[in-house]
Amino acid sequence: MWQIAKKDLYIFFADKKALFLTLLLPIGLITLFAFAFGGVGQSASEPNPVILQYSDLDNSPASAALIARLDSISGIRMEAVDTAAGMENIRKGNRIALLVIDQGLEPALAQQSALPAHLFFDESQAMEVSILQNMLRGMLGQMRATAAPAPESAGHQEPEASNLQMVSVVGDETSNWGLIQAVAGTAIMMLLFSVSAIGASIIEEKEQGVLRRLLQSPQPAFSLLNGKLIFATIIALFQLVVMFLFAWMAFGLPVGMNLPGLILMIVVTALCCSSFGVLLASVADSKRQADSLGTIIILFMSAIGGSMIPLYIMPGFMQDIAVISVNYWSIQGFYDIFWRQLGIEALTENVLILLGYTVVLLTLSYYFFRRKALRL
Amino acid sequence: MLNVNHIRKRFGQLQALEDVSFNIRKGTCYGLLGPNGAGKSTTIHSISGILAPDSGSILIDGTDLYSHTAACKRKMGVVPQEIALYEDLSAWNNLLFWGSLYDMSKQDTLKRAAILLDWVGLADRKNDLIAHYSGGMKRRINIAAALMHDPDLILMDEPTVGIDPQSRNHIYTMLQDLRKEGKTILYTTHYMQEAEELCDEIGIIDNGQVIASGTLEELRHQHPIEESLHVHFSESVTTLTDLPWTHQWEQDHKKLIISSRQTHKDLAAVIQFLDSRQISPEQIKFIPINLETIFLHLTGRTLRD
Repeated sequence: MWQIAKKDLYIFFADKKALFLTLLLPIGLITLFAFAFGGVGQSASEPNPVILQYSDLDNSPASAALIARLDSISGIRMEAVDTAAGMENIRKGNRIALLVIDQGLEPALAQQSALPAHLFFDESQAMEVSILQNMLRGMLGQMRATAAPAPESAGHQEPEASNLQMVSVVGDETSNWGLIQAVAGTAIMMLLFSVSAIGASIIEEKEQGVLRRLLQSPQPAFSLLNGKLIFATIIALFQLVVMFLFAWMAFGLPVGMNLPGLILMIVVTALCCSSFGVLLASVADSKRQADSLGTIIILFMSAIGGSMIPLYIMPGFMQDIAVISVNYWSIQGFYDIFWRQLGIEALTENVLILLGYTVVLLTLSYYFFRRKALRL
Repeated sequence: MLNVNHIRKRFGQLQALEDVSFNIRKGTCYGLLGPNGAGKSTTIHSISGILAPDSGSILIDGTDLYSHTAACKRKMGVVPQEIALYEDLSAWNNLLFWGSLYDMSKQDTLKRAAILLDWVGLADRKNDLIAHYSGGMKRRINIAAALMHDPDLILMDEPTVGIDPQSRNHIYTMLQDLRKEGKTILYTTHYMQEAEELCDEIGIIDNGQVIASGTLEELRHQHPIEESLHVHFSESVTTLTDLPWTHQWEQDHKKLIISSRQTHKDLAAVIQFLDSRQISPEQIKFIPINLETIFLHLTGRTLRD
């Protein structure tokens, strides 16, 4: 019994690189979730301010005072825009909210009537929008109380929600950002796991001697890598299509909303993820290393890129580094299609970046394949 | 058909091939014999076009291998030491796949796969997964896969390692068939008997160098080795000091090795001599001049060391 345990311990500790990667995974995830949920690191670094767009059509001392008070809050940066541009920024996902102050703020405050203030927002950024909403309501309530103090008899009553009108700009009754987050986030993470397993088959073939035999054929050395890439891409396409069809049939995700855009995003996501799988196989020395390294990278990319945790929950600096993740660009692309309901042209940036990633990943794959896999 | 000229290969501190040269004539079988780590597989990998030597050249039918790699690779089939097959595919599908790498037409591939499956005696199990085959059956498909494109030169890297005698005999028969077809074969092994029975010429490789090459007869004559009688005793014998033959003692005087070019004749005399001294041997072994003794003479160790 002890001999069996001893042998397994020896094997486990023999591959130092794989051991390191095995330990790195839980440590990395603990760190990541500590940042995301535990508030770790927030005191050390200044959080990224929330940019609140505003369009002051009232131009009154009261509206100016409101904007000045908002701007004085360290976590908020005010940005003047015209209403149309501000709305467009929200639709494109560049900003989360726009405060529009129509004419008549002062009289409305004084007369306790409906306030001419609207907060247009992106519902997918629920947490930040909720903070803004509460803050604005609090301020407007205070301003109203100052402008027209309530009679003694009504002193115990709060001004009725300040009458700030909330207007969701992005999405409609057919959209469900939570569903989009669940489908896109999960699909990409699972896809990365699938293609990394396919890529790792190159290592198995090397270990079994099949790779050597393939190289003994007249086919160019890189045809093996290209063959694996084609296979992984086809499987990835198939997997993504099935996942989106399932989301459509089971949960009513409107896949036909922007079909060309959806197909484009599925294709580039499949290509990019497949390239990642092939790179993994080219870099790792053993199947165990490929498995460990793949799991670590996939979970990290998924965590920081929004597959596992919606981005708005993450601290500012982690939202900033999300852009290094394949998941981020892919998920944002699917958000553009289903949530923001943008046209195919709006996907240009996502598509180009994912294709850029593909080129870089493949270049590295060829480099490492020549250096490592072909070293027989 | 194959000319290997002074190839050298170094891996870091290890000089895997020091200076390997040999030629194989068309239609002959050349056995490359050597212990583990001697350089057999490195030589095969270099000849198969996947491991360029640091220096020297390899010519296939007069064409330089590393200048015209793809063309040369089409002329050869490689039977690797490992079972390099896809376990999750059937034998039939494995053969079709390996054939497809040589740009064969679909018709030719199907025809060739059927012929080869019949030849290796597995036509009735062609749709079974390789994973369900025995070791010997896998070895036969391993050979068939290398022959899909009907190569003129066949490189076989220890194709009978780890299989039962029955399967080994089947493979020997297959090799004889290939020789009859006029194929040129480079065969590496560390089974002496295989090399003696199957090969027209033999090269002995040790420490990355071909230290002897030729037919078995040539090797016998090149090296002044005598046949010998190995006489084993149950107890140490120290009284035999006047033996009339060239001899040496081993194992604390429990083993006597008598050298002679006429061992058959000398056997009776040895028995008579021992009888006259009232000494009974436990066992007497006749050791002929074969590859084993030539190898031992050349390297100072047995092939299994």
